[in-house]
Amino acid sequence: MQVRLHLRPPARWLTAALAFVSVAAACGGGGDGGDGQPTPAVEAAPSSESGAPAQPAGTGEEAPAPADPEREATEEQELLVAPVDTTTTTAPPPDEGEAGAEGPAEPAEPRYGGTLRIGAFAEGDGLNPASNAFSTPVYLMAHPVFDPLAYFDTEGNWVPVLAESWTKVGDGTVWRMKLREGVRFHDGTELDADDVVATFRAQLADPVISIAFRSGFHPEEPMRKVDDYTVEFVGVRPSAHLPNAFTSQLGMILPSEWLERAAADPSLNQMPVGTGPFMVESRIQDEATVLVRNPDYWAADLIDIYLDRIEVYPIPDSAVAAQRLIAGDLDLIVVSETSAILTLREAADRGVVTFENHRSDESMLLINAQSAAFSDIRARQALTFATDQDLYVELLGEGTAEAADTMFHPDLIWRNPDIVQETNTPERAGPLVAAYCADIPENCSDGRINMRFAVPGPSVESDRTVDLMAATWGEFFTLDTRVKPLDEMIIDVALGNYDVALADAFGSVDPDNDVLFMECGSIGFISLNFTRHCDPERDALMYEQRAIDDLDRRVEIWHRIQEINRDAYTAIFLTHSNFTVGARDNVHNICGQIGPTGDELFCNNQGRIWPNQIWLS
Amino acid sequence: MTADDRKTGNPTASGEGPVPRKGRASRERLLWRFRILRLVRSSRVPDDDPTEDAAVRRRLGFSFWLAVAWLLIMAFVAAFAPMLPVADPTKVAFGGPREPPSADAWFGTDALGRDVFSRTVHGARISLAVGGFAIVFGMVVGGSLGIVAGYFRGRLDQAVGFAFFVLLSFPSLVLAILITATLDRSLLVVSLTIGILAVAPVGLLARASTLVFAEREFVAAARVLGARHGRIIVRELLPNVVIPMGALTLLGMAIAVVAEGSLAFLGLSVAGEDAISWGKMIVDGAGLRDLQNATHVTMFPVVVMFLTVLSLNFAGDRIRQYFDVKELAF
Amino acid sequence: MARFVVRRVVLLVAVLFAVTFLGFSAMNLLGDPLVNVVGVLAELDCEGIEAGLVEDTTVDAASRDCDTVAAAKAQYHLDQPVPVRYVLWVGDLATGDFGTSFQNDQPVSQVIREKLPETLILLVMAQIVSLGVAIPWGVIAAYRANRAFDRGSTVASFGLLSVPNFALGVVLLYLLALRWQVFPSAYEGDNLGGLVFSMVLPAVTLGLPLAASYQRLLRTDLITTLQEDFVHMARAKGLPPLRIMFRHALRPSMFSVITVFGVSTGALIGGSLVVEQIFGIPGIGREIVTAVVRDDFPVVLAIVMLVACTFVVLNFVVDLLYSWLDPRVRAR
Repeated sequence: MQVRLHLRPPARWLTAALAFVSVAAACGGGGDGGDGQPTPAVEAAPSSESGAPAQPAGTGEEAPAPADPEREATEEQELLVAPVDTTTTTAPPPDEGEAGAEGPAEPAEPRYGGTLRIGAFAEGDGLNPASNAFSTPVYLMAHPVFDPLAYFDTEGNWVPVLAESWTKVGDGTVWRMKLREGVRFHDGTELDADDVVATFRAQLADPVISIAFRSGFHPEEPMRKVDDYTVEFVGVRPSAHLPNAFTSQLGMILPSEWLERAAADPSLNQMPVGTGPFMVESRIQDEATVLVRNPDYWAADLIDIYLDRIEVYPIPDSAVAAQRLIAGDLDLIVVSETSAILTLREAADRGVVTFENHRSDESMLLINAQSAAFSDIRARQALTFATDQDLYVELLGEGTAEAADTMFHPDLIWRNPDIVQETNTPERAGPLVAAYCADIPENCSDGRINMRFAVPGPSVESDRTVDLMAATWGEFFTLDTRVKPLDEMIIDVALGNYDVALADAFGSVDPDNDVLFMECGSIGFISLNFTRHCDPERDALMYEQRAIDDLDRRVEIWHRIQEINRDAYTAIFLTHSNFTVGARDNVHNICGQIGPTGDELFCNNQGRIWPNQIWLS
Repeated sequence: MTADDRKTGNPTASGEGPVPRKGRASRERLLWRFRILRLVRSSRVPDDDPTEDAAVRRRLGFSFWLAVAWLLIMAFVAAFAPMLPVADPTKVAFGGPREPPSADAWFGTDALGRDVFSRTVHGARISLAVGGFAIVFGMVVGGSLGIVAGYFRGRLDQAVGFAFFVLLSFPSLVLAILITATLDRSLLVVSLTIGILAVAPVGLLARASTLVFAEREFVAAARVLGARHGRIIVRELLPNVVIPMGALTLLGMAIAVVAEGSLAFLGLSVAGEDAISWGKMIVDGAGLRDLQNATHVTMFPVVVMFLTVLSLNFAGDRIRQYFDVKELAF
Repeated sequence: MARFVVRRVVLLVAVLFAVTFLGFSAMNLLGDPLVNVVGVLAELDCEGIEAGLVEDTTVDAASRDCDTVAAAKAQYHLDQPVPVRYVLWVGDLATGDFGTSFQNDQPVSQVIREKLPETLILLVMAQIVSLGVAIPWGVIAAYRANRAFDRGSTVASFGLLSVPNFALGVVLLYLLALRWQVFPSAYEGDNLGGLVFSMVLPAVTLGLPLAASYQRLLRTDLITTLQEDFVHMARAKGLPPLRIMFRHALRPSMFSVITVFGVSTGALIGGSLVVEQIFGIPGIGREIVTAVVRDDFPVVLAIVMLVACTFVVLNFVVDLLYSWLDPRVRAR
């Protein structure tokens, strides 16, 4: 049940902004729509750029033990810097390891023409990247219409797309971006630096879109035009990764004069003008969005575009979307719900192909380190010990999602392999709770710690999660469960009016984008650092890795950060969420799209895929 | 024409009653009668059978006792659920997830591996508690309002009638979700909510019965003897009005049980992990995939709920016929 | 008669005002509309900040957050007492302005316009189903009153009346959509044919219990009608029994069915909340559940208003019809 994000009325923005936080530094986490429908791990919290395709073998090898010996053995298949673009079909679960190579068998000859019908699990309030916050499914419509200034390649490194180049100036506080010349918008006007400046200014002025990145840019002069095709962006501290921020809607550029018109007439937000290979032909909110091929696409020489039309239908209920895909009414959907994923997997013999990505964000429990009851680390520890993660993975994951120990999937180089989360050790919780209640009896009743448990819902999934957690915690905690729609829940979480919250977080392609959710500077009346845990050492480490390119050192830093996080006991990781793309078997080239530089682009970034270069057989 | 008229000083308001009146008042009277009739009918009670004679109506019959037996079982089970030798209904992974019925778990297990039988047994608690409380609340509040309105008539009657009419103008489920979604969803709030829904129909019935009895000799006699209003209401009217209301208790409870189920189905009934209700169990297994692969999770509560509502309706209808409530009411 | 109608209209208007005022006050007093407008900012202690007692934590420009709160209060009249707000709201309504949804900035009138057709189709189909089932059923039951079929149908109608509609919906969904795959399991709104087809199951779910109660009413009235002279006359003329039933007896026996039509539509609207949820129909019923859960006041109020209006007006029309049709009333 995720928020539809909308801006206009006065300042509802903060609500929306917090829900949108996902879009954070760079990208789409985002909402899944749906009204009261079961949504597994509802996206609640941050999640930025990230994710990646398929954990091998869609069948979900059951929760790999943290230090899976086999995994270490296959050093060949090295750990990944970013969730690499390795997608798998579920059909016959291939052996893990060679998963990367697997993909739908591509017939040799791509075919031109055809209409791609996409089911999106949420609708956006508009397609204007400078005034509508994009959730994951909205990117399905936005990517064909806009080229971002940069995007990730399969290694998780940024590559220029609409920009010709990005260059660090000095220590990296300032970055110089050079635009491609001769790029035309759908309305025929030519792209230049003024458009970039105008778009960026509009985005900074928008409270929702800017919430997560505003603090990263210089407050007075966030950007300056150098010449007609060059813009400099000014950050607040040295960064080696600034272009990451422009892989999301932040990097999607609109014509400056169109922006002026849209400011006066918000209805234009439904029919934006971009530079991409497709143009919006018609759009009826909550019904359908139709994109048609742009005959004058600037990158036509560099990139093959096959489809004539893309139609996007918002279908909030994933189970319904899966049924309709199987029935052949749709060609492509993205789901993250357990039952929908299972349904898709089971339809492998009915012309359905799935691409799963287990390296997305994490379903987790956030613990408020500043709440009355849980500021004492013993309460946080006891909760961790008492949590039956195995049962959660088995009964709610049902083989679609793997158990998580830290904020990184075990396939990723960032993950500290020595970290083992101390869940499923209830025998250690008892003495702690007893000691805690002896010291602070006002936070306890009947020898159990009182706790406010915030859960997004109502939905069948959230009911199940609450029931399961209550059953495993009941011995040590007295629950006051508060099920609220996601955006209302996030308000409570951001304000710190919670003890424990079920949410999805992290999962950026580059972990630098997750810094926002851990830094001390994000704590305040409204905190983006939801657990409100401040650690100066962690801050220093995070800023150090931000400034450097040295991968080994960065990895070392992130390994250390995970240790710090583990010892703080402010988060209990449950599973790595699984964003699954389901498609008819005549849909090709879902992954494997290339950018104008010739680099292959990152695929299934937390459910964000590019439909641009898909073709149908 | 009666003492009552002199008291209220409102000659037109006294049109109700066995003595035919002319003009608008009698049209109003017919309308009232019609509205109540409509309510009784719309409360999903099959109508009286004109072909059945009174003798048949005076017999409760075997199936009535069957229904009562089922209700007694349910009531017993609900009252003593925690003491019964069944599994802990909140125990996760009692068995594997979605196991079909077996000797260990008679109704199988649900998605979290909990014992569906035990949950069904415990589910009776909320359903019956809410149903029972709601109808009692409806009777106390609606009944007293209806009696007072019917006895005093005049402005008061109009005001109460208007309030009932307003309450009835909300489709009941809409009103219910309005209340439960804005307040916390405790057992008390949910029961009260459904109780409020019962106020207007019960009130109308009580008012109609009161109107009939207020015209009877014993009331007039009491009045002549100088009894106070309170005494007349409590000693003379109440015992007579309670019979038709009481006869409809079970029917009202059936409606309340269904209403609670609907709220639970929408996720708006009693909150909390210990709050097991049939509606919640049904929706838990109603996802397409669950429905296909683990039908038992939904179907057992569906069947039990159906049997309970059926028994309530059936026994309730028999009782209604037995006491000939409709004739009493008009 | 005219005076009677005027009285009824006055009552009708009064009821509508009462219903909306009740809904309006309930939503405003039980929830906090400010939270929906400004989100977290509603928690700010702006008076405290103004008085300098509380530190202003606004992120960027000074006191901006409190300005927004003040602006929002002014725009939505949240600084006024509830009765004043209600009057303003009614004033807006009168000019056709239903307000703007909190969930998405669409005008409420547009939300309703989008969702209403689905629900209307569902309700109409449900009534068609119930009448289509109830008329033949009632006729046969009355024709063979107290025979095996009639007794059986008494039991059956009891059964149908005792299935909660969500349970019936789930059972039908399982049997007809999943098991035998006769009907689609989910709403298909792409074209009218698919839409109507996918609405069959929901309509049956809503319509069947109603059919049972219609059938009971019809049967009772038919049995009474069959005692009438003109029926005996027709019989004496040697007309075939079925022809008598359908051509002569049926029409005068529809009276009770028509009289409960208004109330039954209300029950159907209530049922549609649940049924739309089961079958994923994006109609008014689903919208109001979502809106209530999300405290989307403008949408909830507009729908409550709409539903109450429909309900009250329908019953008003039925009342009129009743007093016009019923010989006892007409005679006077």
